Amino acid sequence: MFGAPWICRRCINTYLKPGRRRLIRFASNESHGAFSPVLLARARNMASEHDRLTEQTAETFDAKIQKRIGELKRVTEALREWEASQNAIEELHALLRDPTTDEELRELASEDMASTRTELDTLSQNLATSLTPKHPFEDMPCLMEIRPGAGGGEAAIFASDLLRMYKAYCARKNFRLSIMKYETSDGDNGPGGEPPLSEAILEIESPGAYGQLRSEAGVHRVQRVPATETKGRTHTSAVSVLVLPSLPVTGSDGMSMSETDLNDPESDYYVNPTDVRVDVMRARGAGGQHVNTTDSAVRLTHVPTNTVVSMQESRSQHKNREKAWQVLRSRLAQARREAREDEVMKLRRGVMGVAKMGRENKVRTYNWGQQRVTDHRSGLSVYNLDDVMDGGDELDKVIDSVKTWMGEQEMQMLLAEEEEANTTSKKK
Amino acid sequence: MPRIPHKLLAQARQTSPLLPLILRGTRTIESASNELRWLRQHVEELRVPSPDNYLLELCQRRAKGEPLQYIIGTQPFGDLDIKCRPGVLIPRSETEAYTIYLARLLNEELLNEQFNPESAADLKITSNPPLRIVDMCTGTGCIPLLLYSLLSQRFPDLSVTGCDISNHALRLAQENLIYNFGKGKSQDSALTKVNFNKLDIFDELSSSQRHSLKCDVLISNPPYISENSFNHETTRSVRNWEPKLALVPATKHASSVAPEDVFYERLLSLHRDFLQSKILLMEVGDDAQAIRVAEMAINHKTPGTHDLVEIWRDWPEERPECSVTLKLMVSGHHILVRGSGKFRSVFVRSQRQ
Repeated sequence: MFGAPWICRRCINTYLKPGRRRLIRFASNESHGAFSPVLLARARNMASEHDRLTEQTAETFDAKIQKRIGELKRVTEALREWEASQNAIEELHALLRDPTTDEELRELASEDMASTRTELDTLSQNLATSLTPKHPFEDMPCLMEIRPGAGGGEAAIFASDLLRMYKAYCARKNFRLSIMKYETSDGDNGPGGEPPLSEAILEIESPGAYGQLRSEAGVHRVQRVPATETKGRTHTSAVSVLVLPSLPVTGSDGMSMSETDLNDPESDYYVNPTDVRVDVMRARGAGGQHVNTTDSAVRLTHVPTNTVVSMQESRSQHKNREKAWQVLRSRLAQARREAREDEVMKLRRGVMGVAKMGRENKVRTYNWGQQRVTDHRSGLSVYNLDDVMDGGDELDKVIDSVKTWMGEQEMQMLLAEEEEANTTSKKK
Repeated sequence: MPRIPHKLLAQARQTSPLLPLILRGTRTIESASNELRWLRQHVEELRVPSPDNYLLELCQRRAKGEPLQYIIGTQPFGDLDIKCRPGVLIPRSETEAYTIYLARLLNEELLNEQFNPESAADLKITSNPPLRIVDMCTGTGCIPLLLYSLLSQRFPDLSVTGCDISNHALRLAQENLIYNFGKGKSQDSALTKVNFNKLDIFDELSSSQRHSLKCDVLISNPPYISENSFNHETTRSVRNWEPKLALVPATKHASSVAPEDVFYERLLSLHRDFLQSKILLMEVGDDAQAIRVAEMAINHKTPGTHDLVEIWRDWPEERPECSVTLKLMVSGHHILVRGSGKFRSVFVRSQRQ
């Protein structure tokens, strides 16, 4: 039944406990030499479209066609490489089967076969990845919101630890980071004497930041003895991290959002001003020259979705207003995208049966006692907690593992979707 | 002013021993926390030898009611940083709001009919429409500088003049000009296009002044607080620390209107008779004053001309709250009320031949 000759009772008890099953991934890292025919058909279609369009633009230049060509190029190139490798294997096969080839050639052929096989594996992987559509926000800069969840003061302390971790990580990766909002609440001060964090918003302005950091969104769980604890008991607290695309307003590194996108009601980024209520501090009494307050707080409420953004970071009400709008747009764009993904997920769930990884689910656990960081999506555990909390290479490892996992998930979805599409079209 | 409750002071002290000091200046914990954060940032930027002592000193000054803008020395205004000094009025955010709105109207050509009443189409031919703006009672020079920064791109042939009676204010305004625009290639252009002159607005204009101050847009944030209102409706930090010269009109200007409205009478006269401006925008203190000024504007116009008078609230670009006045009837004329908040400024648009 099991691969091992025997298993101690302790292990049986630990690993077959009902709650434990969550740590098992139900997915393997092994890639398949054979490539799904459905995906292959799709890739071939895209390649032929690419060639057709390239011919077309040889005569006339059209920006839209060029854009489409750019999108199809990845797939076409990957497909060509894969086909070349496939052909190479066939030739080698033929060589080996042919009885007239001499010994030396046969040896060389079989060596070549092994290396070409592995090459084919990586190329299939490439082809599959190129077929999965890129996340629309992938290349954008992002906003990261960190909020303590359950756990009171300890969660607030861990939230500021995470903030430090991401600051260090972004510094290492040369991402430009600025703190847009750092709000503290009343409560007991942390060990350094600073008031507890209640909400922090970071702005990471480098392009591609969203793609790199989107794996960080979710609930991070920490298990340790809090600094405020007198008896030395281990507590579990949680901090929720949101990663939102930051919509650049004016041309920055070629990622400019055109005015039409912002005003197009169909676009994700459109926010109807009549849906938003603006609250500013109103002076008691006459206002104007009668008072010289420094109240610059602005609060935007998007009435239909009840999204509230408050900003009082800057002394200028004008700047606070701009930043608040930026955050509001990002949150709404993210929410809209998530809503659409939810719908698609519901359709796919019937096909796949995989549990959705929502915002409510814990994505990572940081255990101080065992110096361990475990990501529950990719299943990876690293045992160098301090390096992770300093934003070092270990954190890189974890993030990369999650990105690979997400890529695999998307591939499987794509596969299921294609097969579903095929079966329905066959039925017709 | 009512005393700050002990519970609030105790709550403040929990967060930081400096907070109760600032609380005496601002009176709410939230704004006190913000101010403490800004003061900390300010002290960090200064890199003084003993930052903690300096921070304590600043908080003690704030406890006495000294405005934060005088302590830190600057006030953000639009995208600019305006230096502030005792003896000159601190720029208000309501002033910022209507200045930005006016700039938007000018940039988006929503007031085009003004520049050529015969045909707005003519404007398209001249790609360089000249624009002259005069700001009376300029103080720190915040309004001319902000208008310059917002309009100079669209109007290359722009000239902005700020006038004030106080030499102290004029020196500060010139400093602000250099502080905000005195770097790089924009420097020469700003220094020639933005000027600050000494002027007592009630003096008779000489003919050369009448020529040099001729403008398209006349804007002002004049002293508009009555003596009574000064004693009862201003906050302690305004009353004790900001110059009364900028807040309450001096009583020597005898006239038929209420003493707090004298500047408006003079501004309307300048607008109609001497400077021939097409747009006049004046900040007012409260609803009643706004209506009085609107009435003055309507009664003041040259008979036969068609003037448009509007009242703008604190935030003219925001949507009005529910069930507020959107239109008024004053001396038989309709007056549109824009935006949300209290009545904050009166806008007059006049046809000129």
